[in-house]
Amino acid sequence: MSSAGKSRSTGDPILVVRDIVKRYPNGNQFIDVLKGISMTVRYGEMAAIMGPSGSGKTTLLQILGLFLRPTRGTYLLAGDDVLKLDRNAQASVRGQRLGFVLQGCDLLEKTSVYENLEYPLIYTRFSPNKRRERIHLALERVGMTHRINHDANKLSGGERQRVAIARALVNLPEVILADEPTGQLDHKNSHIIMEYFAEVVGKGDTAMIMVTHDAEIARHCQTIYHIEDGVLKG
Amino acid sequence: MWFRDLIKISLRQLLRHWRRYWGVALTISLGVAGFITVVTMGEDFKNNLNDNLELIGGVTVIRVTLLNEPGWRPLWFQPDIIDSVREIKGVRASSRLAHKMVKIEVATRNWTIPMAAVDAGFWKVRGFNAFKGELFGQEDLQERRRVCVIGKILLRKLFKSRDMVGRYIKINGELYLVSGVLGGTHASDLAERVYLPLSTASDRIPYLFPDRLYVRCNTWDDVERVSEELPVVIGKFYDPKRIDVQYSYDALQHVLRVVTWSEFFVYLTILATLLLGGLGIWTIMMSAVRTRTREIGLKKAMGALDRDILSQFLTEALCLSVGSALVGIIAGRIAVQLASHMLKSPVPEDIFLSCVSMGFLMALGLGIGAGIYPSIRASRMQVAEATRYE
Repeated sequence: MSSAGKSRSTGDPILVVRDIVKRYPNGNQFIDVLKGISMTVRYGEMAAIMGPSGSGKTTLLQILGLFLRPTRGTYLLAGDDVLKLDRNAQASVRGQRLGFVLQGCDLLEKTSVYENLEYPLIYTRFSPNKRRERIHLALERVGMTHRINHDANKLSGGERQRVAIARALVNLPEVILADEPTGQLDHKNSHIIMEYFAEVVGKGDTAMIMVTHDAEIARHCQTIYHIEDGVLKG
Repeated sequence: MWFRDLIKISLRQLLRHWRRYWGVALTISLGVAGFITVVTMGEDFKNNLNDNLELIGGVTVIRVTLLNEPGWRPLWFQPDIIDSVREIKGVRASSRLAHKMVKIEVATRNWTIPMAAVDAGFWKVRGFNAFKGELFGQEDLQERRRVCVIGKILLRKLFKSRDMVGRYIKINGELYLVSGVLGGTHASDLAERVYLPLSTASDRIPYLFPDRLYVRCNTWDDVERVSEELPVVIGKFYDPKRIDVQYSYDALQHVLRVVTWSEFFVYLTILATLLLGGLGIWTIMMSAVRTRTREIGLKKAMGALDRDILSQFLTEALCLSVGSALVGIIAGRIAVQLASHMLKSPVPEDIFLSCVSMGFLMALGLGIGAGIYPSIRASRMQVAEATRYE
């Protein structure tokens, strides 16, 4: 299953979820963290998911990122039912078709910026000879080429976040999933980062779904979903 | 993941966190180096020890005597018997000896002294050396020179410990040049004798037959087998009833016991060191799985398959064990060279290469054995939990 050969054009749906339920056991009872979530995200669209703590927004993002399996529901990624895939096939989808910017802009310890961006390419068996060019391209999109050989730990918060975005972009994903991507940044850097996202997604060959608490940050997105007690309100 | 990426990532991880790994690496290196040194040079060490065995009872020397009673046809060790004896597996050297009482004249007084007529190999077989001067050799025997070696006690008794080397003494009325004083023996009966070249003595002393043979075995492990084969081989020439084979059975058993236990403890120490190294790898990898949980989650989020994570952790464990073994092999080679220099014997390259292979295989086994479980745990980690791990 692959999206190879499928055209990516602005407005076409890339991510479609229907009636997603996530249920956790709690003693003799069950708790429904997500209660029938349905949403559609299109190429070139930036969508924000907002909601109070414990509302289920991170759980939803984890299901969209194939970190978690929902209790029931369907999830189509460019028409492919990715919930039917096994663990390893889902990992391949994560590597080739999804890009992640996780909370706290996780960069790998004691590695350079180049090495951080190389990992997604390694796991998708991208040709070693073409890696530098691809990494350079991804860093160029976030204005970080001058830091390519720097130790990732020595970058500023804003720079680290830009490297995390470049890493999410390096495999040219169809969907970028971001969990509080500006959570640790100041006002100015947050807006710079959102402008990078807007520029990347605006090209129309990718989409972005982000989880945020910050209404001002969410305003950069075309669609804002509010989630409350496991129910999505568009 | 490509194989070269796997190696690159694993080595990078080890080198950048070397402080975490050096203790384990050192332990494995020492274990492998110890193993290589002990096994490679063990045989040479035994041989070398055997050269000095007079100190611990001469347990590798077997004494064969042909029984000659008055009235019997005298039997003696002829050259073809010696050739047959030397073909027995485990025989390192042999030497014939004939003995008789002789008269030594000192300051007009005659002393009756035990004399041993020996060939040039005698000193080596018995582990004797020159306390002063030098012991006569092959050339003296071939030239049938009138030279002699005197024991230390004899020197003290007859010559009041004067330096007699280079002087002449009268034995059975003939002058003999004293070439040296015998050292390397603590047995008083051996130090009270005068030693003559067998060829010279046979010419000059009537009815002198080399009826005694000393056989030096390679190691103490060969003694019992050689002592059983000797009567069979010599029995082809003479009546077996007239062959008496003796060796220091009690001393040999004692040495074997000591050596066996020593070897056992040496190997036990090496094994314990290697197991400690394996335990170290296990502990470090288990700890790494815990401390690197978020990294594992992140890598899985980036598309790493379970087998990518498993192979990365396993390769790290293998790089650690095999890399340490390579250092151990180099250290072992240095130790072997030093031991070889000290023992004055060449390095047995075939044994060394076998040890290198075994050391390498042991390291491989340790790496896999100690690394597999932590690697499986790492690979089975759930992405959602791992990425949220604090």
